[in-house]
Amino acid sequence: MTDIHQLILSVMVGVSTGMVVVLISVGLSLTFGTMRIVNMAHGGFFMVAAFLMYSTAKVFGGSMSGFVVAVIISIIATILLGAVLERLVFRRMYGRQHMSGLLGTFALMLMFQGGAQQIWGVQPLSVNAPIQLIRAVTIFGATIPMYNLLLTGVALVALGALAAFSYRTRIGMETRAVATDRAMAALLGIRVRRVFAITFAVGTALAALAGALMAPLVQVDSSLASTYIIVAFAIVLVGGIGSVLGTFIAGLLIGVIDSVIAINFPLFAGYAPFIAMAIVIAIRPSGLLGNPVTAHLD
Amino acid sequence: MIEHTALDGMTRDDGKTRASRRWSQIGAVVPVGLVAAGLIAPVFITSGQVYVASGFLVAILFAVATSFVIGFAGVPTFGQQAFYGAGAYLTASLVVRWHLHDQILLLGAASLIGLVLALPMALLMRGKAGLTFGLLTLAIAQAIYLFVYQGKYLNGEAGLSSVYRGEIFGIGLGSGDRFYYFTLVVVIVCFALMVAIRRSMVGRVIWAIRENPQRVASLGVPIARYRIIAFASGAIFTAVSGSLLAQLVEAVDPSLFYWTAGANPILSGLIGGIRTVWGPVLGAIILQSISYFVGQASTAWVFWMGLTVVILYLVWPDGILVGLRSDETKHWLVQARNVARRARPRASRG
Repeated sequence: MTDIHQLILSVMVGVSTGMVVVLISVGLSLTFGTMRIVNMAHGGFFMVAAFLMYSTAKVFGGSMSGFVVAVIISIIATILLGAVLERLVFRRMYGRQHMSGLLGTFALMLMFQGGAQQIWGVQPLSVNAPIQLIRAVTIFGATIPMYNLLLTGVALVALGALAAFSYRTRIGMETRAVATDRAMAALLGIRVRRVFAITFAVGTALAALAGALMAPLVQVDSSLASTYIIVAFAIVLVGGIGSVLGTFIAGLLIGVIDSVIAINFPLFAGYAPFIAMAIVIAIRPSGLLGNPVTAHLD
Repeated sequence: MIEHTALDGMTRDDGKTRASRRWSQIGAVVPVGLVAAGLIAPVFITSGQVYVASGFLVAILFAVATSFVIGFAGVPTFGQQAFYGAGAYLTASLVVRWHLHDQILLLGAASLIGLVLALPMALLMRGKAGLTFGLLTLAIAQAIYLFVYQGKYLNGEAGLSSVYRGEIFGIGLGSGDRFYYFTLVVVIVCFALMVAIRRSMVGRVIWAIRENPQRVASLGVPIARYRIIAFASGAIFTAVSGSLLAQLVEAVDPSLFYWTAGANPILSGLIGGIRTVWGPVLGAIILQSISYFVGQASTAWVFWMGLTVVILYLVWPDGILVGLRSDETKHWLVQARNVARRARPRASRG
């Protein structure tokens, strides 16, 4: 491949991994924007879905339909787990300040990691995507696995569904209201607890989707819970807390930039999210599209 | 003549109940007991356990220093691991590449690098604390991690090894027992320094700034400067703990810089009581104990650590030492005592 093709390839890979990170980050942004909880355990859902993919993919086989079934089961199981945790643990965190939520959710993340190690062992596992999807496809002169394109497509559809949910349903409107001004929303009769539960479920679903789809592309082990969450944080901050569109743009941008850097200057791989985070914090703490008033940062 | 009222235990006019006075006495004895236990421990335990105990001490110092910044000064920082790793790696480099062994030099250099790294971070935010500052420290620390892990200067993923323990005043500290005592002394000194800062005028100001920054600022106090002092102090002590760790384990690797390494001291502080003096000590002992004792029984000890922290968090969200002194706990204790009294047939009633 020539240089320009390598560039295009790195951009496309960046877009696909960027979309995965966007899915995780959007879930995080929703939780923080609506419930004001810094959910460190969010990465845990991503990890759990990936592990579940490993187990269900083994059961349902490598065919296309089997893979789809495995994805769906993994996501639903993770959402159920999230719902249980929301009921048991997160409900008690809603009134408190940032720091203690950090503590509780970090401990939850540890439980996720330990639990995964207990159930699936400490060795990294791999998940195989069905043969039909590993086919390489040539677009704009660059050869890229079909799977990455699929990933991008599915993620875009999911985000589109989220946008539709947020702006065209009553619950979506209630969620946005609660995120803007919880007290006022409650006074207007919105059932805040229900909004919280639904927001949490949506966020978890997005992380689970990301985890299930990403499973064939990464080594599945407990470090997934801690690796992606930190990048997700950076993205949420850069995009602007409370702004899903900001998270989307930031995630895409940083994903592409990091991918281009990683392929061409491997020594500098991985820095992009954190450098961007540092710049944003120093210059414009509310983020690209964040609203300084509702960001509630200090 | 002081009248004895029906109120429980008010026998002196200092306003405290007998129960609270007793708790204060216990509270004064515990630290002395801890130090004494720490001093005589090596006599009674195996050298492997002395090694583990030294690790406990390092974790305690790390937790105390971190809690000093986050809890006492009220400056959230999630990048302490940068100072920890920097202290460790600098010490390792000095020993391995420049063959320097004097502890005063090693610890001094570690302190210096803590300071050198902390000042730009603090100045970048012009002394403003808050979640944004905490996240900034996190971002910088992760960038440092990537630099150490992926770069070639510090041996990447493998890290540095053969970091032999230094010597103090000519006395070699290679032996486990000697290094343990050295670590104990260093930790006690650092701890005492932090307590001294807390009780000094500077500490009073820092405390006031935590409680009500606008009010203190309106009095004309340069709050940024005091926050920087607190942050830098915490960084220095954290770097010292990193240096101790490097010598204890006799190796360093990039995981010291990873964000989860900086989470442990924060967790320790939070479960013990992040603003208290002894809370982080208690928290560190608890977490390290789980890591060690449960770790011997199963590889998934992380799960049990998380579970313990979650349960402690749900019961005492502000920390154990704060929760124990809270009204809810006192109420619960009184209820429990009443139930016990009613259960006993006749003897101790009235």
